[in-house]
Amino acid sequence: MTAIDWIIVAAYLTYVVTDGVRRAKGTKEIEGYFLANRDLPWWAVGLSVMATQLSAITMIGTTGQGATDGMRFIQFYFGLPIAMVILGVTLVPFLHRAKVFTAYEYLERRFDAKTRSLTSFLFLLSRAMSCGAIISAPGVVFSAIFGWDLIWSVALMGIPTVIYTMIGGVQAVTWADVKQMVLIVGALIAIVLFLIVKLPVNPHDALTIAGAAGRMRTFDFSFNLNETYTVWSGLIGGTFLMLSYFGTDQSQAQRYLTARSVDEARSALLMSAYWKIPLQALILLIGVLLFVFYTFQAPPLLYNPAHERSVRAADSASFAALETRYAAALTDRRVAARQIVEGNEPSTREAFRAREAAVARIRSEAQDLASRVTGEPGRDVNYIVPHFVLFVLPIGFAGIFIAAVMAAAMSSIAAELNSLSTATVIDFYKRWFKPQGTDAHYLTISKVATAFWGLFACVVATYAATLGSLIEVVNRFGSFFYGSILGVFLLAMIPRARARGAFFGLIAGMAVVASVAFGAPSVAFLWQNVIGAVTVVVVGMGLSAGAPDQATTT
Amino acid sequence: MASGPNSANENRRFRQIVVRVVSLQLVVLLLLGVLQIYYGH
Repeated sequence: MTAIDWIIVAAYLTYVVTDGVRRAKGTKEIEGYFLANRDLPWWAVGLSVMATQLSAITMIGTTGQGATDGMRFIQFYFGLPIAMVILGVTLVPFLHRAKVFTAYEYLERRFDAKTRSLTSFLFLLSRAMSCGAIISAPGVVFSAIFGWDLIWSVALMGIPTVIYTMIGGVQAVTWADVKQMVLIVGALIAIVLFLIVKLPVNPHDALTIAGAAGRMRTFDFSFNLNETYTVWSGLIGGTFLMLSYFGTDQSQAQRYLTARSVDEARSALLMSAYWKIPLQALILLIGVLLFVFYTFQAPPLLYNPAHERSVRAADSASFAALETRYAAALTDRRVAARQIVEGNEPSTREAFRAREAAVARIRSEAQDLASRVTGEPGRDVNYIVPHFVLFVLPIGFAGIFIAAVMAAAMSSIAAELNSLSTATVIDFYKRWFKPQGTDAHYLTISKVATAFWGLFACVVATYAATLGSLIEVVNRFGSFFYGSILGVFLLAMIPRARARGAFFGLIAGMAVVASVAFGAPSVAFLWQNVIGAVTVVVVGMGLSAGAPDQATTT
Repeated sequence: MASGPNSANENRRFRQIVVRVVSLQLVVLLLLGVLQIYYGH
C-alpha cells in the first residue's frame, strides 16, 4: 500500500462518517430515526437491500471460493429471485400496511407477546453473532496485509460504523449504502478488467483452462442432502433461507419498511432479485480468473502470510522441502496450461487436471503443517484476494479495493446495528419496561443500544476469524435460526393458526434443527431452513387444532 | 391485498417487473449453462 492508497482509504472513511452524521439533522422522533418517516425512494431502498446483503465476506470469501471451487457456489442464490417474488405478494404488503417498526411487532398483533419476544430474541442472538463474523472479514484482510493485531483492524471498521449509525440512524445507513454499493460494483468491475488485461492468455483460453480444472461447473443436479451446493439445495433450501432472511430478518425488513409505499417496497426487493445472480456471477468470475492468473504467475504455498511466518519459524526444513516440490509442480502445471492453449484436446486437459491435483496435494500438506504449527484451521481461501491486492494490484487500485471491502463490511454492519437497536428498543425496552416514554428518551436509548451492539459485535469478531470460510460461518449461523422464524411468519398467514401453536411450534422447530445440526452434521446446512420451517408449521397447526378462537389482524 | 384502480396499476407494474426479473435470470442461467457445456467438460 502506497501513500496514495492510504489517502483513498482515509478519504472514504472521512466522507462516509461526515455524510452519515450530517443526515442526523432534523431527526427528532424514533419514526425518523428507525424508518426515515417511511419516505425513501425505491431505488435507494433497493441499493440498501443489496448493500446490506453484500458484505466484505462476499468480496473476500466468495472470490476465494471462486478460485478454489469455481462457479458452483452461485447455486446458493437460485432461490433468491423466487423468494423476492413470493415476499412481494405476501409478507411485504402485510408488514408495510401494518405500520410496524419491527417484523416481530406484527407477531404480537397476530399471536401474542411471548411469540413476538421469543422470535425477536432469536433474531438478536443470530444477528449479533453473524454481525461479528461480518466485521472480522475485513479484519482478516487488514491483519494479513498490514500485520496488525486483529483487534485494531476490527476497531478501524467498527468505530466509524457505530458513529454514523448511532448519530444518523436509518437515513445515514441507507444513503451511505447507496454510495457504498456504487463503490463496491465499481471496484469489482475494475478488478475484472485488470485481470483480463493482465492475463497472459485471451479470455477464451482462460475459460478453457479454468474449465479443464472444473472451475466452470455451475450446475450440480444430483439430489444429495450431504452436498452443500446443488441446484436443489439452492432452489429449495435457498428459497426458504432467502424468504426468512428478506422477509423476517429485521435487518432486511427495516430496509423496505422505510419505502414510501407497498409498491416502492416491492420494487426495491425486485431490484435485488434482478441483479443478485448476475452480480454474484461477476464476483465468482473474479475468483475463477484469479485461479488462471496464478496458474501463470507463481502463487505462494500459503496465502496466509501469518501462517507462513509461523511455519517458517517452527519447521523451516519441512516447509523448504514442500516449497521445492511446489515450485516444480507449479512449473509442470504452467506447461500443461500452455499445452491446453496450443491444443485443447482430452489428453491435454487430462494432463492439466493431473498437474492441478499435484499442486493441490502439496498445498493441502502445507495447510496441514500450518494447522499443526498454529493450532488454527489451515484453510486459506479468505487470503487469496488479499494476497492479490497486496502483491499484484497497482498504485491506487489497492486503495480502491480496500475502501470497497470496508464499504461492503460497513454497509452490512450499519444496517444490522440499526436493526438490532430497533428490535431491542421497540420489542423489549418499549414493550416491557417503559411503554410511555418520550421520543427524545427512546432516541437516547436507541443510540446507547446501537453502541452496545457495536461493541458486542466487535468482541465476537475477534473470535470469528478462526472459523474457516467466513461466508459459511455466517450462513451456518443464519440457517440455525432462520427456518424456524420463517415457520412462525408462515403460521401467521394461516387463519386457523393460534398463539399456542406458534410459540411451541417455534420451540419445536429450533429443537429439531438443533438435533439435525448436531446429530446428522453431514446434512447440508441449507436444508436446515426447510426442516425448521416445516417443523414449525406442522407442529404449530397440530397444536392450534382445538385451541380457542382468537382475534386476528390479518 | 388492496383493491381499487391504484392497486390494479400497482399489481400490473409488479407483474411487469417480475417478468423482467425472470427473463434476466433465465438469460444468465442459460449463459452459465452454455459456459459449463462448452468449457466445463
